[in-house]
Amino acid sequence: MTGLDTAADPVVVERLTKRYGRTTAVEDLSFTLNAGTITGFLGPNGAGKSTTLRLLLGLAAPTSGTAFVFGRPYAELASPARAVGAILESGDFHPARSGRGHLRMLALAAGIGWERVDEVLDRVELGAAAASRPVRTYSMGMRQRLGLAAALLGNPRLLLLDEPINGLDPTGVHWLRTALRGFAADGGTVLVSSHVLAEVAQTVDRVLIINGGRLLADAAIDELAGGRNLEDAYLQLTAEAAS
Amino acid sequence: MIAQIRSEAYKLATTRTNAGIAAAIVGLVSLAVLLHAFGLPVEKLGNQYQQRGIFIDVGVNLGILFAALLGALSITSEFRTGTIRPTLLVTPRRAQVIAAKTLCALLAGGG
Repeated sequence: MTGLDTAADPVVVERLTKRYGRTTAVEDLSFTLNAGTITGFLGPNGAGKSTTLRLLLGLAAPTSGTAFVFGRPYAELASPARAVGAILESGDFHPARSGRGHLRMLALAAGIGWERVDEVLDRVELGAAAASRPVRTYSMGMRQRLGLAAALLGNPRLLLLDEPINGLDPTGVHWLRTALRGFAADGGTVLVSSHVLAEVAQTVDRVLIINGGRLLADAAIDELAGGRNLEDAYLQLTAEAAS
Repeated sequence: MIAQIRSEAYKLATTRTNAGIAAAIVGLVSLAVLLHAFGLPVEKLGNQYQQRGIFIDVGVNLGILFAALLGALSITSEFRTGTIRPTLLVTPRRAQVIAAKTLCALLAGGG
């Protein structure tokens, strides 16, 4: 329908390395995400999670290695908004533009009809009155909902979410968990970074843990925890890596 | 490419700064032209050559100044607010984004 190579795995990262000057943000990272799964992307601040997502989305170029979505670099997707939805930072809005205006300008660029804008606003439960107000009046949680609406705009098959839980109220967190599970049940794929381990443990099928740009663990959630809770497993792995 | 141009035009129309600049272009250009028309002594407006100089030079120069401002802001404000990220996610081919912005600023400033 969108010329998307659905036979290819949604995400394939191979020997990915990114250096900024002398700093190595991501080093020799490899992993694959299968369709229909939710994967938690964990690691301390500065571990390279956001850089990895930026590399997958073509916002930065790898120093070496490859980061492919649906079998090709993001920039070579025929219709990226219809393949991949992303939340990067909650501040990516013009403060003077309304939430609806933000979605409409993206819809125009992606060749998506404006009726879809109202659908996604409904979907993230951002009311008509709120959607007409400038983004500068939004709470953190409303910005996250708007970010999610933008990610869902093209009805994508892959979601890359950087800290989408930050600032959401408990209702919002519950709503997001349900939405992500429904999305995966329909064959969608999710990579979600977070520091809220208890929430991650409830939502994801698999976890990737990185530290210092290197992969520490890539395992099914039950396997990794192995009777321990996710927090203990995480703390042990990151402490070992630090020593 | 048409989609990118429409998106850029919509962006220009949906923030107050841009709407303000567009209004300022129209306002100031007409004001300057009117001031020259009414304020200058008749002999300075006496021949066609001088009229053309005053109206076209004054109008066009001011217009260009604001068009340049509009063009610069259309990209810098995206970096300042972070809007550049969603923009590039929808249109990862950066040359297209720049081309659409250039064209829209030209049309908005010139028109």
